[in-house]
Amino acid sequence: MVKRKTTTDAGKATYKLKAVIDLGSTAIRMVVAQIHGDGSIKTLDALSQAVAIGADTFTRGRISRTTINDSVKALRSFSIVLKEYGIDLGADVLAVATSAVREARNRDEFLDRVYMASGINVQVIEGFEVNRLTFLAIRPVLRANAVLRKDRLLVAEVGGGSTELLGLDDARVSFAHTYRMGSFRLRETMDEQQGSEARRLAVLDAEVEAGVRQCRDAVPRDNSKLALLLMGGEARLAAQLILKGLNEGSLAQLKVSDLSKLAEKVLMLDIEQVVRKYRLTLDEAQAFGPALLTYVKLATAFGLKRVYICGVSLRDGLLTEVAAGGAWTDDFVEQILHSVREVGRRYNLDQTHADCVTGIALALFHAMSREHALGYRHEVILTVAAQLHDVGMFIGGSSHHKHSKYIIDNSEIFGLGGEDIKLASLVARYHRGALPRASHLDYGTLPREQRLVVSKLAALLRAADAFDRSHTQAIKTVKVAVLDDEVVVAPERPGEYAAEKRALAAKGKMFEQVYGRTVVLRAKRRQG
Amino acid sequence: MVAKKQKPRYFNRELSWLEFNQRVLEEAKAVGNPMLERLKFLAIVASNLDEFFMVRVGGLHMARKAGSRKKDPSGLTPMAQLREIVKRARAMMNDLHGCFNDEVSPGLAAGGIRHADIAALTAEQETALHQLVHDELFPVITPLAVAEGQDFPRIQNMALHLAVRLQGIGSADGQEEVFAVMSLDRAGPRVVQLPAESGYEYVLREEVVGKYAANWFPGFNVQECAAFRMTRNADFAVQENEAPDLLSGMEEVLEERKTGDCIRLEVASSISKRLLVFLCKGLSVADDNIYPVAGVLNLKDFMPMAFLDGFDELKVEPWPPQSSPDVVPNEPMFGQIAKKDLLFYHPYETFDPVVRFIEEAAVDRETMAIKMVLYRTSSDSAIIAALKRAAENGVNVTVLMELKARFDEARNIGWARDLEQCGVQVVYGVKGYKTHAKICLVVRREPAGVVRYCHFGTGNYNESTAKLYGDISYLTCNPELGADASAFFNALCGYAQPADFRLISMAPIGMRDKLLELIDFEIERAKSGKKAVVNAKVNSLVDVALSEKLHEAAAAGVKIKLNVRGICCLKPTRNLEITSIIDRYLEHARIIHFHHGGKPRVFIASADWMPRNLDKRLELMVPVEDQVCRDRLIAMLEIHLADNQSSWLLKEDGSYQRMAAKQARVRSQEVLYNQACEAVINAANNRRTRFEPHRPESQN
Repeated sequence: MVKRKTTTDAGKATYKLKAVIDLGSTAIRMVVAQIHGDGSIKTLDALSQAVAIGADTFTRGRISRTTINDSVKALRSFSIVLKEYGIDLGADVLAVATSAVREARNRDEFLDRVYMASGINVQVIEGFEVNRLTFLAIRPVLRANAVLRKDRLLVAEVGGGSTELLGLDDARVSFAHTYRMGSFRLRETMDEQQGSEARRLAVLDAEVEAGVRQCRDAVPRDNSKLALLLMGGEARLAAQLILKGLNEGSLAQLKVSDLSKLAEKVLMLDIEQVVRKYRLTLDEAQAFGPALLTYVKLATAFGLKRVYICGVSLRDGLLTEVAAGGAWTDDFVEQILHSVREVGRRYNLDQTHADCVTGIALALFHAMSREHALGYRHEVILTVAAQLHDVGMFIGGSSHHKHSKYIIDNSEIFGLGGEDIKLASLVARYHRGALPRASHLDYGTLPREQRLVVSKLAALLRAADAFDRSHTQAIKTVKVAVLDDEVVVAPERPGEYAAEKRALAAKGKMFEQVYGRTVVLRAKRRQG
Repeated sequence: MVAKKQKPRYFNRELSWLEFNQRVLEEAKAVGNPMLERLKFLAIVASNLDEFFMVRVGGLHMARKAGSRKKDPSGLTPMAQLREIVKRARAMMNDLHGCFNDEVSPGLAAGGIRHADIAALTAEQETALHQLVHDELFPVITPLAVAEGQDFPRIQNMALHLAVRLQGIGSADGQEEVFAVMSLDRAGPRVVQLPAESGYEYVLREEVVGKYAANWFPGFNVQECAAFRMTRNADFAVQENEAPDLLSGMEEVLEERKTGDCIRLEVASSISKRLLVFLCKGLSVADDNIYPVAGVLNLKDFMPMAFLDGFDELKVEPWPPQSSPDVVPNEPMFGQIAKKDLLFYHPYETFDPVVRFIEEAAVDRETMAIKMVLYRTSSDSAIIAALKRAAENGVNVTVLMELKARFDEARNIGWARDLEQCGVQVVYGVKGYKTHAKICLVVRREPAGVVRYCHFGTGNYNESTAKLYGDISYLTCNPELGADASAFFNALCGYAQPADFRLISMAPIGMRDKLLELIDFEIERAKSGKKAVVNAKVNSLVDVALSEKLHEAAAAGVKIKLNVRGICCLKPTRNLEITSIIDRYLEHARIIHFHHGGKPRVFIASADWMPRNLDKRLELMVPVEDQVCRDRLIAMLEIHLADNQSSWLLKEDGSYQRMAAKQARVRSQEVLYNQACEAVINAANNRRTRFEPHRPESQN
């Protein structure tokens, strides 16, 4: 057979074909899209196959052999479609699995088997990444609908194993939480209950109530008006049933009372009836009722009469990510930093000091770029650490750097993964006190490369902190010159800066150790 | 309150089908039609009846034997249906053979196609026949003698046989007779041409064998030869596909009755009592199932004669398919479809652009994939050749080959293997369903993005039947239809679960609901005093849910006009007019038009309005939103509905009455053909003459 080129002549086509795959609780889904040079995305194909991964993981803790085979079959058939589009399984496909695979005891076995049989490399993503992708997915909806950009918006998605809650203020992410309350776990609790249907429903009700209370308590209470946007297949199906249709990417509004009636109706039916009536697979049918009930209770907990539903999904977020080539966009970083400031606000942080130190740390970072050879992602990590380096003061002054580390480690900062958080918390921790040592918890277990990153960034932060020793922001902007044996930091405003110089003498040691240069403060003298 | 027992509002589907076949027979009887055209209609009626007996009558026999007393929507039990059907079918067969013997055969003779008297041949003819018997018939026909008490040989379904009564030479009159059966099935063509000074002269194979029967039975006197043909109940697999309504829930009982009983024995009416008794006993045929035929049996075999070369005065004036003025011959189809949607009405317009579309896709280096459903394709199909070429060129070709296309299985399997060997991915149908959708999708990589080109049709991808069946073709690169087409194939190939389609509706998932929804919309409009119209053209209307809804709509004031070629179980009422067209071409297009508050919704579909199509088959209903194509479809449908020459009006008693021309005479097929011709002429006049010089390739 003649081997044919599947792409057009180079330079002719202005787009690339990419695919994203998501292994969820009840189905494996794929979207094939055309990504244009300007970043715009056009969906070509959307495929879905019911696979009971969630039912296995959330009830038995592991994915059964049958389900593994079903998954392989689904991915193999997807790979045929990918082949038809000439899409490279390695370079042009982003496949992710969420909690159903993540929490399975045999997840590695599952991933290996799937990869060997289908050639598709599935990455397991954590809750925070789901939140990030959710944000990317809803961003166009936020842009298109002013009603969602006002005051506070909560974005909720009830999955098979967990519920994701994303909070936005004025369209900027304030917080992101993941709760271990999912439709399968709920169904399982309900099914474990012996007795009448009414008793089982009561158990479900109590369980959802408890989970929702947790969500409600996590949302800062103030007077801002709140809107709730629901994501996920169940919410979309509800909108389709109640409104008789939901367009892709568009925004719909539902009355909570209608949603509540639907939830009640679904929960009263036998699973078999749900399957038939709503044309669902058995797994989808099992998840439908508990998910709807959770949404209704969430809305009620926040005193809402209406909720919004949009026809976008995790896959839209994945596509946006693919279109951006995996890099963090400025817009996305802005969301991270907004979320960081929210953490600071919660712990009464001296934000002006934080901003001042951040500015100087970044000036040093840019000046030293040839020496440290770190990129944009690390710049963001330095920013996060600089912003929150003093957050531990909330607990106590003496070891506040250690408290800072603890607080950062345990704050869900939107957009940052576990590894990123760990780096940021360590950089913040080393802004004062002992220098990094292999015996230090967390630091010692990092791979060598990461340890170097911590040292490089912490040295910059520690030096920068010295420039606002007095917390008076006497030095706001600086010019940095990198010389052979020293790095000269010159404040724009002339002055003596005796306290800062003293502080730098102590805090600049780490810089000298890491970069082999002394950092010096050389200010113009005040005239007269 | 006890509901008043209503009169059934439906006709029995079998009787409605017989009415349809009667209308075809009326075409054969129509004096105005040329003789070979009349012969063709006779052959069609005969062929239709064969299938009807095998599948439908067979199904009812099975149901009756299994003890079913389930009433159909018209209120008849299987027993009662059988009684009515047999009465009607028997009359029709008499009518059919009477027409051949008394009108068509003499008419053909007058026109030069003569059925020679086997007893009065010329010497030259005798010699030719002698030669034929010696060279071709004697070696292949093996008579089977049947003595009293012996097992009867297995008689092949639908094949022509001779029953022979013999007596030993020298034995006295009244001595024991011997019987034999001769199968004529593999003995060459039924119609045997004779040397003749002028015109075309023929005898029939059974006449030849009868005349020379003594050759096969040395030592015996041939007392009598009589032709016969037996119709068996179709086997269970066919019944399951073709008559599921009759058989649902009875599978277990039926499994045991797989072998086909004799449900019809056609015999030459000249047969002696003795020979008939021998046959009936041997074949276990009940008296009810004997159909004596005066004259020639199995008129289906006369179909090739209808296409004899010459004899133009006995044929209809040819209507060669016209090229569509919308298609520029030397420009690639893709570019033309990208410019505008294309719509063709075959066979008034040629099927060539559709073949060209697939052929061009096959050799185009930007084609990424070709996917199509094949069902009853023609034997020397250019489409199959193109698909093979495409696969060899490295295009991803997926063909869904429906093997359950009745009676075509063996042929389809052969093609499927062929395609597979060339690298085509062949999917052998979908379990539990028959794939009947007519769809071809070409995915192409273009500079601005991936573009999907689709062909949607109402007829099969069969270049031969595309010359005989009235069908619609719609070529488009509408992105939403393209996405739907991809989703349809993803579902069919098992790559994905059926998704919610954007524009198309698919049976068995949502087509009926969509139709009901659209009719409901018209009902609402009518109730609020606004204009509400449903015009549709389908081949059969049996579905009860749709029928109920149409009755409801008519009662609400929706103006409904239906053009249903074949079976129609729906009774006409006020606001509900039902007509049927029988003419030169088989009416096969399905077009549905809803007024929809002045924003017309027009669809083409592969499905008839029957439960088997809407529940047991994978079918498509496609909206035609392009305004030009949509308006053209509306106009075509209106022409058919205005037909008063080839159209029959369904009456409340279930009978049909030929429409009478009140004002202008409208024969829709002729109007459509003339329109196609005029369009070609207009296009030629509008196109300025431009010469295209041949240049060396480097200059192009």
